[in-house]
Amino acid sequence: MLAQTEPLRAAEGNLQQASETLETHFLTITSELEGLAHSGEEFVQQVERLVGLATGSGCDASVFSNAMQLIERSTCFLARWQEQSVKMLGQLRQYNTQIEHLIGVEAALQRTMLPLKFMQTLFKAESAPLGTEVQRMFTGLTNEIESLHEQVREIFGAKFKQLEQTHATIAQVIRQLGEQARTLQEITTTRRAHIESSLAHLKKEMASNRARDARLARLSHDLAGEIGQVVLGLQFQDIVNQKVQHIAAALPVIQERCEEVRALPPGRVPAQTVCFIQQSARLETAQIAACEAELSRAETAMRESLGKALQHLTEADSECLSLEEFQLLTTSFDGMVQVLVETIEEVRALVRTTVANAARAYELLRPLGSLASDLTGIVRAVSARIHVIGLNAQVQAALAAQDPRGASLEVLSARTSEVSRETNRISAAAAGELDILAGGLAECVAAFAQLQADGLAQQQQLDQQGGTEESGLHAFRDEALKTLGAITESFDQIQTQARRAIDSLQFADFYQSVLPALRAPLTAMAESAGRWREGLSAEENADLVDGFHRNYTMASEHEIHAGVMATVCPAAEPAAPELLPALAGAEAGFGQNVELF
Amino acid sequence: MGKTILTVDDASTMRKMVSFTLKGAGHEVLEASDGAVALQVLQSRPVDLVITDIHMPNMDGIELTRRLRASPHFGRKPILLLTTESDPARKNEGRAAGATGWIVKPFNQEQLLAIVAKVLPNS
Repeated sequence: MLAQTEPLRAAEGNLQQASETLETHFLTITSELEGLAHSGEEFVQQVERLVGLATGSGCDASVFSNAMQLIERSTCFLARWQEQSVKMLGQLRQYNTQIEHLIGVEAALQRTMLPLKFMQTLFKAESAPLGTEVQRMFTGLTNEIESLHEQVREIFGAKFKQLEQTHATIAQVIRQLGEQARTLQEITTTRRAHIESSLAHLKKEMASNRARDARLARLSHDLAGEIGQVVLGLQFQDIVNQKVQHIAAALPVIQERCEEVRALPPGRVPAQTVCFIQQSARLETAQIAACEAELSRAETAMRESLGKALQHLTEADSECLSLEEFQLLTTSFDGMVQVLVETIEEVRALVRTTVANAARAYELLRPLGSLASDLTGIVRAVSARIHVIGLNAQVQAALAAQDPRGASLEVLSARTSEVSRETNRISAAAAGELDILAGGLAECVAAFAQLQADGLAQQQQLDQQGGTEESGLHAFRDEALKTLGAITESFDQIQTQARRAIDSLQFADFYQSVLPALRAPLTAMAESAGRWREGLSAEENADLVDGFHRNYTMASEHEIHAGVMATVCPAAEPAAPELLPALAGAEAGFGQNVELF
Repeated sequence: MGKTILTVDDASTMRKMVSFTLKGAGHEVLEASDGAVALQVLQSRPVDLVITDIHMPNMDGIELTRRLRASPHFGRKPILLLTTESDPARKNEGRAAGATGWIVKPFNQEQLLAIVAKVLPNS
């Protein structure tokens, strides 16, 4: 008895809906794959961007170099300032020693000129007996001496007091400069070391990131390869669907023949019909089994590829581009940016202080040069007057000596001349020293003025560029942080998408349930027809074989057909299906399945 | 430089796979579910290449190829047949209709991109 056709009809009825469900699964995976590929591409781009930032190739190199140049220029200025401060410190110390010596000159001059006071009294006393005219002459001389004394006491007192103040002022400038020079040296040395250490760290990071970049390229390639495998697997929906349509087209014919057989009395059933039922049921069973296997393989391959894609991305996270490392890297960017920004700010403050100090020193020193010049003039004037007094004393003493009572005046005059010479000697030496001091102080003042001007220019540049560089550095750091955030987000999204795609790989119902449900009644039919069938001749079998493969369009379908026919009628020479030879495209490197006309 | 490519297939999975592959290489991709829809699309948008399946409802890929070759607007632009078909007679029909090439499904992405680069040299 031939097997019932109802189970086959029932299974066939489920096939359409199951195919639609299968297509829905495939479309879901397709959609997830598109999302996954998009996120994967974004992820790789973001990682490349971050690695680019880390290696310096992905960011404007001027971000660091401009800031470094600005700091370098400022620290060079400060270093020059420090060097000049040390030099000026030496000079100022020397000037203060000179001033100390000059302050001593006042006492020496006072001491030297002191005898003149007694000379004045002696001149008055000795000239008294020599008549009114001579006495008047010597009274004038003594008045001159007294006036000089008065002038020396007043002017020298005031001016040398100022000189003492100058000494104190220079000492103050020396302290100030010394302190600043020490601070500058300390800060520039410390800062430079800090920056150099940060740069060295960044360079080291950059070198290791270049290796990461290479690994990332491999990862990107591997990821694309896995996605390509999924693309390949997804095409089996169309292939299997077409095969199922071919199978579905054969089923009504088989059912119809079965109904014919069942309607006839057992002795009247044509053997050829039974044979047709048996062979076509076997053939479609084999085609269904091939679909099951193909779908199962596609599912496995896609599951593996999606799993590998996820694994590659996880490797990106855990091995070559660990997010933790990125955080460290970003911290190092942050640290570097912080150091540069702080340095710019510190250098700016230092330059400001330096300019202020230069201005203060300039203001303090500026009057000192004129004081020294004034003092030189005074000393020289005193010296000239005392010289005149000495000469007058000599002339008047010579006149007075015409009277024998005036002989003692010659002694006094000689002594006056001697004092005058000594005063002149001391004055000339002091004036020389004062000239040098005035010149030196003028140089110092000019140097401070120049420093102040340079410092102001530097300050202006720092104020203008510093803000820009700080903004640039902050923007760079923000971008690195933003990229890191985006990477973390993309990675989470990719993981979710890949898992969703894997979860959507639900073809098992189709190849483990729907297709076997179709295959089972066909197998039963083939077996029952086999029991029913009487043997056919080889020629009759061959005719049947020729008629079975016309529904098939795919090479794999023809191969299955040939295999089944070889089993059911080994004696027959099955009409070899004319399959496509290896296509010409294979020679062009496109593959066996391609031919360009 | 990206080109505009029309993919014609009644299987949406296939259209999406072709589209996904070509878009990834920077091309613009239009889709049609059969030959008749493809002709409508081509009336509104010029394309540089058509990649079409053969077995489709309403109008199959070979008829579409014939119509396009007969159209003065489409001219000698490349047409690739992407099919599960392995029958040499059908392939010859495709060749006679004016197709540029024949690709048996499934394709791999690199392969498809290489073929597109070959038939669209400036892409």
